[in-house]
Amino acid sequence: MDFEYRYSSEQEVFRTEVRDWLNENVPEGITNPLDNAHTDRETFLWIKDFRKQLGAKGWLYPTWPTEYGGGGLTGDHDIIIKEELEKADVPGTDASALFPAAAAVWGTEEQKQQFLRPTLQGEIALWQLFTEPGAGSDLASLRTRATKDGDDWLINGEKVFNGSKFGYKLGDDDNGDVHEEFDEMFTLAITDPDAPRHRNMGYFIIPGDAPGVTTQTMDLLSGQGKQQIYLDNVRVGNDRLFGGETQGWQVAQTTLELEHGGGGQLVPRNHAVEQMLQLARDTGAGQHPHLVHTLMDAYIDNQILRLIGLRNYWMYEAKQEMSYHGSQNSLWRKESALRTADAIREVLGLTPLLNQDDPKAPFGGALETHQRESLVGAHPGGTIEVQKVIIARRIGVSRTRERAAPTPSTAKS
Amino acid sequence: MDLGLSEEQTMLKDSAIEFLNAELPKTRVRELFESEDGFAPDIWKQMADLGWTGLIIPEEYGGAGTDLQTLGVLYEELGAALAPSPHLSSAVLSALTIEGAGSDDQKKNLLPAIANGEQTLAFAFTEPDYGWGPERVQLTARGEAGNYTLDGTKLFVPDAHIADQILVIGRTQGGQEHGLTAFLVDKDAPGLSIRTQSGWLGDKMNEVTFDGVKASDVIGPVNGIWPVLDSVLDKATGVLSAYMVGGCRTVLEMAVEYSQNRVQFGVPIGTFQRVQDWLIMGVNIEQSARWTTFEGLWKVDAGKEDAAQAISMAKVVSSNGYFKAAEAAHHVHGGIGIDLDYGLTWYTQKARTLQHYLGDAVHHRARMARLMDL
Repeated sequence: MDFEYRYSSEQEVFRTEVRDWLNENVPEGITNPLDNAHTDRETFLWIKDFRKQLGAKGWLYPTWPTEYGGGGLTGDHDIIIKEELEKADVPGTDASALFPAAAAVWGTEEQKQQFLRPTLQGEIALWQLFTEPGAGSDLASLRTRATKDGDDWLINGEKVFNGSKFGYKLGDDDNGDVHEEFDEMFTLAITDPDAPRHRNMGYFIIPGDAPGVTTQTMDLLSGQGKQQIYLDNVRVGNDRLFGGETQGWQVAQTTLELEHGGGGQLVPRNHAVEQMLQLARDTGAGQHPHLVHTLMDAYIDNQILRLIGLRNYWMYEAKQEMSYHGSQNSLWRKESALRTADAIREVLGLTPLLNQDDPKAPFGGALETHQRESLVGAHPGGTIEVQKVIIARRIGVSRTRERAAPTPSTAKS
Repeated sequence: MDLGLSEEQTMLKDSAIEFLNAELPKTRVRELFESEDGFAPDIWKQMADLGWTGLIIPEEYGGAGTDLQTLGVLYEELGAALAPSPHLSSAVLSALTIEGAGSDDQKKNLLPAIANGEQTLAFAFTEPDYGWGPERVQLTARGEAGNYTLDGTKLFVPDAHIADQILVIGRTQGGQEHGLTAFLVDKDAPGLSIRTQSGWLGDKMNEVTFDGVKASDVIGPVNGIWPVLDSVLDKATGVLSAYMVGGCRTVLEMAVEYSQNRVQFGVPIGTFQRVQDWLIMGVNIEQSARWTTFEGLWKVDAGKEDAAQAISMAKVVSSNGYFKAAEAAHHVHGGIGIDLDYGLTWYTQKARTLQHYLGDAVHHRARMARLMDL
């Protein structure tokens, strides 16, 4: 066992190349906002453009194949790129594998060229439209309908808690061009209402500007301005259906496998715990025997999360079949965030509740964001309880037995 | 990065599983727990023949010179099978102290005999004021070069009753870290008495009383054994954590299997989410203990600066974890879990003792905090 990457001199040269390029291409003042809702329009437009630049270099999806717009690079390069992006604190550089994984496993060659390629190149951003007002944990009970109309599909329904990393909807700009944060949306809709559950829906990709799509910002505890989206007779061609007409559930499982953390995590952000430890040192809280208990348990909790992410990353790269591992990552991330938020308050009292507008807020209000995000983050991609249900199935004790959905790591090519 | 086992480690793991399956059925585990000395000379002899007693002892002293991580792989299996042996006392704690602080002659005389299992040493550190910090050692040692007399009591000392010699940590001067010295004491030394303690302990542990006992030898610097000991304790704590990982694994496996087969209300009880919660807790504990432990062992092997901190973290996780995993397994099992023939209770008993051995979570959290400058 070896828990760290060893960098060859060739890799160090590559690191210098990445660092130099970032120095040249990231202007002063571009940093990750504390709270995504605070991203201004200028930054947002810069991000869109920057993602294209990263994509063109193959650095947005470094290990994905070049034939579909990826970087065709090794995991070693991937690590260096991720580490340097993390150090540079550049916003909007996350490379979600949710849609790409589904497209890679289930898409036709044409679909891969049409949708996967621009995604990997950073040319388009996608939103995930799964959850509905009546279909949360029980996603399969969704009611959005897709009906055949000639060679096309007409989609009708309502989706909630959608995408929007930045809560930004630009509308018309000065030149009259419409900028939406998203370009495409992937969604699930019932194609055959008479078919049994899990074999009755399709996985579609819808243009963000399709007629019949309207959005409304949801008022949430999080900074992320999630959108409620209404689909009113939205017309899409059959080439926008991934997998078979009634295979959508299976396609979505590939997406969800990754969303739960099946891809692992190599360079985790753990600022809140570091900040807590720093303040404990500054205030002397670390000398208090009871608080030492709290501090160390919170630290350990997050170290375990790091190790679970590392384990999954290794399993994914080594093409090992996972069982409970993805959901365990999600479960631990969600539960440990809640425990950590509690620990931070126990150690630091009320100050972590001060936000960025308060001059007394530690770390410019970062801990206040953490307090809210710990709660907000407990739901996306399946609640804590849903992760437990999946783990139980995967360890073979439930009524339902299931194996992990295929991902690009495990799918037979 | 590669979190998989090496070929050598896989072979060691496989042979350990095969050996332990054959030699240590549940009935034998119970028999050993209920026996007076808890010792299986036949198994110990075979462990030596398999080369396990010399696994981390350098080749020049008759060992295999493998790294700690590999020993951890073996310990996971020993823990999974509940193998009782003086291995940790003799082939890890004592051997590493001698290797780290002993003279060339002492190493030549002692290490090969430990490596081939001819000599078994116990390791006596803790006292009635139980704890694993240097300040807890108060057994007095008076004398001068080559001639020391020990007075005091060591408590909860595993394996003293079956060892040929005892490696005793005594105090030659007041202080905390300073003033500690390591001695060898022969099991037949006049003034030495050994009483095996009675109770719900996971190992046979002893009260060892020293009444004017002459030490047969001094290992390492007088007053200055602590720095060596600190690092020895780290290594031993890491492999002990691996033993506990094995225990977590087995109790989880037992609970999962039982929940799949036990039918109540017409269905296997594993289909109940209340029951599943305990199983999921077990999976989380087993994985947490596993990865903190093996990363810690790797850090020691790789000479990482924060290795000590990582080992203490592993012990916090495995100490609390094994205890809780056993408890979770009892929840799943209900009544049958407390049947002595069934086999779960022996793990529970082990967990409750190992939680404290080489330092409990309270000790190791405080140690981590010190190492992290809190």
